[in-house]
Amino acid sequence: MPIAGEIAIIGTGATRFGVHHDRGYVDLIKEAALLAVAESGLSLDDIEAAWLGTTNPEIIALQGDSGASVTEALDFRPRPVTRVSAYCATGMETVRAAAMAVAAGEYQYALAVGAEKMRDVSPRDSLVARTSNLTHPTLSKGRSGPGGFALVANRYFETYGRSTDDTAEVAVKNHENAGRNPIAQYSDPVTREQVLSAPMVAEPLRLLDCTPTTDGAAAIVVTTMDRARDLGVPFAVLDGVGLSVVDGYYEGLYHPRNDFLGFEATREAAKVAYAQAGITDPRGQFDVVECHDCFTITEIVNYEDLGLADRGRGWELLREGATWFGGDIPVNLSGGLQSCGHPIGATGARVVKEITDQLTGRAGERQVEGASRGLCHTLGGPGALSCVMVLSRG
Amino acid sequence: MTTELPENAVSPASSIISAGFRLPIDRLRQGKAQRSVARTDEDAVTLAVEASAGALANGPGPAVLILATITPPYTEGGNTQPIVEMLGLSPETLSFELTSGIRDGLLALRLASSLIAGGSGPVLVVGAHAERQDRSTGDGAVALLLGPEDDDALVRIRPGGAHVEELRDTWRLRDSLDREVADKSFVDSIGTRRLGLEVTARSGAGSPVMVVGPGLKSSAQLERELGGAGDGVVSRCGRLGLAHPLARIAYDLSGPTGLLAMSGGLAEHALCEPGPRYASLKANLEAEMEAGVAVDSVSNDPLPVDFDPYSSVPRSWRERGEDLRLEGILPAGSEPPARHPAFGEVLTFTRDYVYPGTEPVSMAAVDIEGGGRFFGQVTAGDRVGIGDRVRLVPRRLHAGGGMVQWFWKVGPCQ
Repeated sequence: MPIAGEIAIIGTGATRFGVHHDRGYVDLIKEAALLAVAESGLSLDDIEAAWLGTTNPEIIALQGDSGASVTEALDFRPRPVTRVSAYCATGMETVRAAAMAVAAGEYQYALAVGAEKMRDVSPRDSLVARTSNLTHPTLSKGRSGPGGFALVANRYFETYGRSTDDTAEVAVKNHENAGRNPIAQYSDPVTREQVLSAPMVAEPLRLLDCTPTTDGAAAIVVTTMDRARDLGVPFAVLDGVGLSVVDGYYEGLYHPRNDFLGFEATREAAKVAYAQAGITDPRGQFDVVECHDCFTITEIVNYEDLGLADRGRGWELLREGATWFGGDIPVNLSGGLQSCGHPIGATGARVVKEITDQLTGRAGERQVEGASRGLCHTLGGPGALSCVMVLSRG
Repeated sequence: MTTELPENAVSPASSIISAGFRLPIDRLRQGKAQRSVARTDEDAVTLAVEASAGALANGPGPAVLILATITPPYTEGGNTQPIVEMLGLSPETLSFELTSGIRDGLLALRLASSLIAGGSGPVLVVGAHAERQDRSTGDGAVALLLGPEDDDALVRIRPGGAHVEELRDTWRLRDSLDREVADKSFVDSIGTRRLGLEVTARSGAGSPVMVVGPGLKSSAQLERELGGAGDGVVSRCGRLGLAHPLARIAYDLSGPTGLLAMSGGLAEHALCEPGPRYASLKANLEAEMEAGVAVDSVSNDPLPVDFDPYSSVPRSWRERGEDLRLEGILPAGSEPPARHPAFGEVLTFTRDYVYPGTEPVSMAAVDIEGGGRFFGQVTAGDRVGIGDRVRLVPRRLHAGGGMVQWFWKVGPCQ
C-alpha cells in the first residue's frame, strides 16, 4: 500500500517543552505517549509496535540507545520498539517509520515517540560538548550548531544585501506566536531591540536568533485511513512524505555544490512530498506551515527551499506579514524551535502534532480558521538530511 | 668563488641548493631587540613544515629529512612523521631528529654532507624552535636543502672540527620541568670562550668566525675576537634555537666564514662559503624578518585547560592522508598544500563564541583556486571576511587524548 494518502494521524501528545529538572527521560516519554494514545480513542493495548526517536542518548547514560525506554515507560512488553535517529529530523523520521510499517500492512496501530533529555546538564555541556569534544578530531574542531548556520546567515546577507534586521523578524514573530502555545518553553514576546542586542553566539547570530536547549517529548499514533474513519475521531491524512539525505555529517561543508544559501536536502525532500501530494503552488495550497527554525536565518532560507518564496526573497514574506499569525501563509504558529525549544528527538513529532492540531481544529488560540492543508519540515545534519510531510484534514 | 679549506676537515663538503624560512608574524619587543613569538596554534612541526615547503618549492624532493629542535611536540621522537606527511614526501624518506642542543643545528649539516657523499641524494635539514614563553629565544624555522658540491650553490658547506667533553651549561633532568643553568661566569669563560677557541683553532684559521654558543654576550664577544661581523639575526627575531646556526648561514655571510655552534660541551665548526646567488638567500630571510608585526604580549592559549576532545590512534593513522595532505578535500592528485600552496577565497565565515575556549574561534569556508572547498578554523589571532584571498596553512588543533592533532587552517595572505 502506498504511504501517501493512506495513512492517518489519529492521536497526538506532547509534554511541555522546557527544563524538567523534576522529571526523567522515561517520564517524558510516558506522558507524551499516553496523551497521544488517549487522543486516538484507543487503549495502549491496541498499539502493536512503537518507534522511539532520540539523538543524544549518551547525555542521559544510555537511556534511549534502543527503543527499550518505551517499553520501560509504558510497560509495553513484549511488543517491538525500534530506535530512530536522524539528527534534528529525528522526530519526523520516527513518524515516517511508524507510518511506513502501517502502510506495509504489518501493523494497524503504531506509535511514534520522540524524546530528548538535554537539560540534566547545562546547555554548554550537552550539545556543545558533544559537538566539540566527542566528534571528529579534526573536521569537527571549531564547529558548533550555531556556527554552522551562521555561515549561511553571513553568506545570505552578503549575497542578497540583507542583514540582521531581517532575521530579527523571525525571532519577534515566533516568540509572539509562542504566547498562544501552552507547551512552549518561552512564551514571552521579544522586541527587535532585544534580539539585536542579545549576547553574540556565532556572528551574526545572537542568543535570541537561536533555539534553546530543551527537555521534552511528543508522540503520534498512526493507522490506516479505513481504521481512522471507523474510529470516528478527528484525524489528519499524510498526503506526502519525503526524506532526503544528501550528505554525511561533515561532507556538506566541504563540497563545492553547497552555496550556503539554503539546503539541498530540504529542496529534495519537498520535491518528493509535493509530488505525492499534488502540491504545485506551495504558498497557495498550504494554509499553515511548521518549519525548522533552529536559527532565525534557517526559517528564511526554508521559505525559499520549500517553495514559499523565490530564492533570495524569503525575507519579503516576513516584511509583508505573510508568515505572521493572520497572514496568508502563517509559519511556526507554535512558536517554532525558537520558542518551543528543541529537544531534538521530540521536535519533529511536535511539528507533526502542531499541524495535526491545526487540521483537526485543536490549535486553540493559534488556530487558523478553516485550515485544511499543512506543511511539516525538519532539517538535520546540519543540511545533511531533511524530512517534509504534507498533511490534510481527514 | 673558492677558498682554502681547513686541513683537518673531517667530512666532505656539500652545497645548499635552496632554502625556506618561517618566522611567526608576531614580534615582541625586549629592550632594543625583539623576538618572534609563535601563535598558539604553531609549534616546531608546523614551523618546520612551512619553512621546508619554501625550501622544496623549486627543488627536488629530499631523500633524507633531518629535524633539529629542542622544542619537539613529542619529546621522545615522532616529530618527523607529520612533517613528511604534510610535505607529501615519499614514505621511503630517511628521517630522524637531533635534539641535544644548539650544536645540533650545525651537526645536521655535517650529517647531511656525509650522507650526500655516500650517495643518499638531497638532504633536507630543518631547524625549528617554538617555545612561546621563553624570553631568551625566538620562534621560527629554517630549512636548507643540501646536495653535492656545486659552484653555483647558494652556500658551500665544509664541516670542520667537532668536540665533546663533560660540561654543563643549560640542562633539564628527566621528569623535571625546571631548566638548570650553570654559573654565568663558567658558561662564558669555559663553556663558550675556551671551548670556542679550541675548536676554532683545530678547524683552521684565516676566516672570520660566527659564534653561536651558550652565552649570548660571551658568544658575541668571542665572535668579535675571531673577526666575525656580529649576529644580524638575533636582534630581529631572537635566537631561534637549533635553527639559529642555519639562519646565520643564510644571513650573515659576506665571504668565506666559519660557523661555530656550541652547547653542553658539544661543538661543531663549519666553513661556509657564499655562492654567486647568496644575495637572494639573504633577501628571503630579510623579507621574513621584515614581515613581522609588533605585539605587546604573548597571547594566551585559548583552549581551556580541561579541553580533552576525543582522539584515536587508528583513526589518525587511517585518515593521515585526509588530515595532513587534504586528500579528498582538494581535487584528486593534488599535491599537499605545503608543497603546492593552496590559495582560495572566503565564501563565508563566522566567529563562534560557543565553541570551548577563552576566545571566539573564527571559522571559514573557502573555495580553493584550482578546485576544492575547505572548511576549518582561521589561524589563531586572525580574522577573515567574505571575498578575502586566503591560503591554507598547517597548524596544531589540540592534543586531545594525549596526542597532537595537526590539520590545516585558513590564514590571511600576508
